[in-house]
Amino acid sequence: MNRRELIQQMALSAAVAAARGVFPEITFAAPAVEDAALRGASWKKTPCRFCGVGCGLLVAIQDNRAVAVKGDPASSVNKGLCCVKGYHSVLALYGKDRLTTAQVRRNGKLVTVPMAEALDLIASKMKETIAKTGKDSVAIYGSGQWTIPDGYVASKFFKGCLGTNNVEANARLCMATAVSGFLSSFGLDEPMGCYEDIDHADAFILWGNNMAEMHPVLFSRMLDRRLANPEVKIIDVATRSTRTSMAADRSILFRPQSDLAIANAICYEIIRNGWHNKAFLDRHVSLHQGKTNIGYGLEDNFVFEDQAKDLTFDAYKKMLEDYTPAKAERISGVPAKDIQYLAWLYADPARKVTSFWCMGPNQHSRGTWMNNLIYNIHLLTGKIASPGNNPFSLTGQPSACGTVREVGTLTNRLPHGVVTSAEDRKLAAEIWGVPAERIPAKPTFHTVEMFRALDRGQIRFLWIQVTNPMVSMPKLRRYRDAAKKEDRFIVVSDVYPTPTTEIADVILPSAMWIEREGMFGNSERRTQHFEQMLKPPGEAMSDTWQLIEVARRMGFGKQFPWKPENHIEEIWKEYGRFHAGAKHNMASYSDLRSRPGVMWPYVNGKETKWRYNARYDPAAKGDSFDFYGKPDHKAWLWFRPYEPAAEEPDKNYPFWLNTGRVLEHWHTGSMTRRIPVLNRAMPHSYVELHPEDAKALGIRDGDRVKLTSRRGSLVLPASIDKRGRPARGAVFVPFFDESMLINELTLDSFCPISKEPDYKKCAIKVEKA
Amino acid sequence: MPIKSYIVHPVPGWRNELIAALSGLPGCQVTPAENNPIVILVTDSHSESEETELEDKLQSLPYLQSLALVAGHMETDEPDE
Repeated sequence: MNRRELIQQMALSAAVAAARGVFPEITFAAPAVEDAALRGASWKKTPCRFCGVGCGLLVAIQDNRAVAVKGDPASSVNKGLCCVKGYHSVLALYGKDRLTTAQVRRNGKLVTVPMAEALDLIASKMKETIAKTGKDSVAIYGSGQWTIPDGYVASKFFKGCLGTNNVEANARLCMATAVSGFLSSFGLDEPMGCYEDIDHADAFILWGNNMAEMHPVLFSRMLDRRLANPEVKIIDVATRSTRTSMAADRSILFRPQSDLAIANAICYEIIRNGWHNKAFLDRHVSLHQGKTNIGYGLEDNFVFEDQAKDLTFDAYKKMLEDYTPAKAERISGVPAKDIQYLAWLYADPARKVTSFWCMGPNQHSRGTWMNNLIYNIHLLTGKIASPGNNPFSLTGQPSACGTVREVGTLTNRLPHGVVTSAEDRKLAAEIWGVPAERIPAKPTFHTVEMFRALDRGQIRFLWIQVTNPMVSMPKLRRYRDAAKKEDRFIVVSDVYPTPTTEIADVILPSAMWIEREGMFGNSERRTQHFEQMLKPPGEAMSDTWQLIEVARRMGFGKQFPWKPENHIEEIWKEYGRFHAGAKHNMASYSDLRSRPGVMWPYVNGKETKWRYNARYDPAAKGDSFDFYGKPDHKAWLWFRPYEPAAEEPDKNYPFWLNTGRVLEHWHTGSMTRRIPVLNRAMPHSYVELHPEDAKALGIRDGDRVKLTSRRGSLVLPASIDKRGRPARGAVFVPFFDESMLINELTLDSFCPISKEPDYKKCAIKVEKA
Repeated sequence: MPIKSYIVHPVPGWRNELIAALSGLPGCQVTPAENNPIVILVTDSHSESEETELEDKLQSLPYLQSLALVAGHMETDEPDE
């Protein structure tokens, strides 16, 4: 197949995907072009490179080139479907400006050097920095796009060998809140349910989650479910009208931050009507309250630790009186009758209810609270941990769960447990072959604070892999200036030049996705293996192997003894020791190779689809539910009040700014903007305005608009009633476009519990440019 | 030069005629749905004038009710890598 035929195939696939989005039941005969052009190609399985849904793909390989893609019909995730990004994913391998050689900055200019020389320099610079300013002055910042072996090796190298907890990943910016939500409510991370819930649920409540664009395959499955059963309802609860709202049975728009009040009002209404499941609550739930007025993390070295106090049901009921539907209406702008409808829908005994959410509740200065509140609704009704009845937090990156959350590539985590636990440190030290005292008992810097530490000079050496923080960090200017300071040394491993490689002292070319072997873990606890299908270009090397090379140069050969030909298998075997047992057992390497993904806990050859339910989960004791993550074997219901956002509109900055993603581009766009079909479909960023706001400001579609916050300003073209429509008094800007850096304007406030920034709310001024 | 894909809706009752007409146009690849009237069309033309001519022909087909562009790619005529 030549390039032209490949593009024809991609165009056909995109149209098939689009048709399936409109007519989920539609089928096509195998396209003739595929049969003719792909004769002789070998089809290999892999999870998609992009989002956290983890669709199974089949990639056709011919003459060391990926020539076609189709959805894997054997994958239970997508059942042969694909979204437009998935169908075009292999084109991201072939951008004209792929990084193929190492580069080192000399006299201000990047010069090409042999890979071995760059690796030598990194090792010597790390040694020198540690000798001069201590081990906590070197750090690694990775990603939810790290494969599981990448993250595992990074954690072992930095925490186990170097003895610093300076390990963070960009999942702190998107999923940390889901982690702290799960941990505070259930004691263990990751969803209790799985995508099969879609096939059982009768109602879907989507909280701040534009699934039609961000998780299109799951959205198609949901539409399919409704098509088969017209009684199924989809309710979109959001701050902006989107394609998801258009397909929903009801769209409920609320004022930013007021989801806290709405969720509490739903709980109030459920209890007021006596719709709560008393037997479930008595047996499986304990009630608690935490601290209030908890701050926003705006100041350097901000510290917060929550403290749980027990609560009686009557006391909880009393506290909810501040959140009657009428009072919540005043806070949120949502009519009380809509809140009452939501409460009825959640509580209707004839319906199974699944809640989905993603960045709305997660990138939220009270994100952990909002996650807790959604769990509260499911706990009050007892609609949890069973087919179709689940709260389900979706992820945005292919291995935010598999790598960052399960391997624990965050400052406070280990592959099993947390650094503050002596028992968890001991287990890690035993498996890693290092003294237990080498792993520090105290976490160091979460992501925002890591970049602040770079600014302050506490961190002098930073290695960034598979992520683009010079586009994605909030309050970007401070952190870009920090990285450029004298006596800071930045290493960036990536596949294309980005604004982050611009601040690098060393650039390492990385092997991308199927150019190396690896595993990703998706949103539903499914681990998926992919083999090396292609030779990487030039001297490009996997991130795993880059880390191993540097670790060996620093004297840790004993901890990294593996050979190139089987190192992934050996790493998987070692990593698996951390999760042995019924609560988290992982599939064997051979099972992963032979199957299109395996869900953990994987016990006696069986996946666990629903955790905490003794009918499905081998770790659950008794005859019904067992929330074994908590010492009292109960799920924790938390009272969490409404508190305002860190920065709200005022006279000088009268609009809310909300940032996010679009269907065509994946995150900062460094891959998808190099896929011509996707880039042509969405060539640049824009600012969405409500038509009445636009009219009042004299702005028409396409006009240049200046946005100004207390941190900076940016000019973008106006978009009115195209992709989406924000509520009055709010604007939306996608962040994929490195030529229009919206994060120059955003605020680095974060949830004090999860430390995840709130990218959805800050105050701005809007003017015609 | 341009490679595009479209979802094509035929005039009700004229689907077979539309498929036959589209299949006869140069650079057109037709994939009919099996259980729905719509047809997927992929077009590949080698110059802008060829593309314009093709678009004119498509617009003039009497059996075609509507044409929705899904993907468009401006391919350069560089050799395969």
